[in-house]
Amino acid sequence: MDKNQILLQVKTLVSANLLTKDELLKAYDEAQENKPRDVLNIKIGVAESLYYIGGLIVFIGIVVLVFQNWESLDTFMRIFVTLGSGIAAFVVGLLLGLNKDTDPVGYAFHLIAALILPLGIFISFDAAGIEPYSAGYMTIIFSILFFTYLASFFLLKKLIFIIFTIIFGSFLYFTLTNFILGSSPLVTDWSFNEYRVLVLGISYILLGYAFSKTDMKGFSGALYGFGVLGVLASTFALGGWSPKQNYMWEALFPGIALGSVFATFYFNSRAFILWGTLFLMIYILKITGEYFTDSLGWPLALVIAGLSLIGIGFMAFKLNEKLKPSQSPA
Amino acid sequence: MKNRINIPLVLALLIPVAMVLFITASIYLPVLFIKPSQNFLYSTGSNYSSDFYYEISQSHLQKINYPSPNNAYNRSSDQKLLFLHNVTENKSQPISFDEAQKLTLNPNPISSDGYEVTEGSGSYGLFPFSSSYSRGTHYLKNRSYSQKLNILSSGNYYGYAFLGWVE
Repeated sequence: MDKNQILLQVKTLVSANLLTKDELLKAYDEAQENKPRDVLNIKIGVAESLYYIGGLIVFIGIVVLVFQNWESLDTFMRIFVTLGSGIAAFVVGLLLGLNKDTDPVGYAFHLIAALILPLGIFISFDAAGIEPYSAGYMTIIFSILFFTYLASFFLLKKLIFIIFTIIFGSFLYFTLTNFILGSSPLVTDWSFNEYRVLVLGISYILLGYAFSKTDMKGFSGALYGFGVLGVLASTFALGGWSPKQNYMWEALFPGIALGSVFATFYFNSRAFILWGTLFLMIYILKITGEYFTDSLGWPLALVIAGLSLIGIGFMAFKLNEKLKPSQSPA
Repeated sequence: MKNRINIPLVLALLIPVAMVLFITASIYLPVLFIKPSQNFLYSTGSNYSSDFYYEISQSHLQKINYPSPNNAYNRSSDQKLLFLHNVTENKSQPISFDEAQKLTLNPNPISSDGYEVTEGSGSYGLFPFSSSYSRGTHYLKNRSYSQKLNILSSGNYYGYAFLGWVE
């Protein structure tokens, strides 16, 4: 069937009021979204792995160089070696990205830049007589990094910048809230640390879901993985431990963990079933230790916990089999 | 249609922002609207290098001498000082023992309007949860309110001792 025939059929359907403009546009958009694009290749080969390992080794080398020679390096050299190297790596990454063949090597230089730039800014602040470890200045430092990478993404359209934007954005979220909270006793009274992680976990899952419908879907697996880990770890921690347990979160947790196991089908990611099953097992051990060791005794409690773990393991195994082989291993 | 809003993306960005706003509101709004009113008395200086300690007996301050020298070192260099903290202005003023003895004091850690003085809690934990070094900071707090106190022992972890609320 050629294009003209299809268009003719479309016109016929439209004339007969069987096809609306919205339906037609929706079909077009869906086809666009599903169109494979070679923008982000998430399969990292041996060569790419070596580039990134090389990048990490360069970073470690610079850190060791600076801290071994801290006393002998003057202020200018400390800044030059760290911040200067970071900026240089960033520029080299950009230049290598101009050529399609050298683009993967450019990613390694961006990795070096993202690792060294925070150190460089910290050392520059320290040299300026500013206490860089205070919550306020850490907020400024991570704001600089977050907005730099966000702007880089919008200006240069390189997807690698999204990774660093999310990482530095997450640090900014924690340092900013640390700055606001200070050492207030409400941090522990209101379990702010747990709730901060819970919020970030939900945000990661939503980001992963949003990206799964775009050309950034390569990031979804990792975002789902860290997101569900954050949600489960924080809600588990909110449950507390006897005698200071929170009954509401203890009661909600099995539902959240089971929800995570079944969410694996909706989000098309094995991260949910993996973390959900693991946390369900930890929860059973915790509840057994917390409530049943005194009443049932350790041996019987252990038998019940063991049988429950076998049951959960079997359920996870059967559910995992139902996942299509093409589904994300993340 | 191409430019329709990606709702999960918008939510993903808005939720952390909402959390930051909620934390800001929970820390700063109560300070604006809730006004604790009961002042308190505290002392500074270590028990180890002092030859007396303070105690509240029958709602009044007492100075109790140790029966034998508590320390062989020069004790007079670190004697206990008394301060009256005004919670409305968040300021401490030195007060003499004679003046302090005239006050009617409630030694209960929780004031009659439901507040207590606690140490700051931000010095524990690892990055990104850790905050700046805060040992020695003190807060006036209840279930929904916390305000950092400008008390004069800040930075001296062992120096501060709460004595009582001024009735």
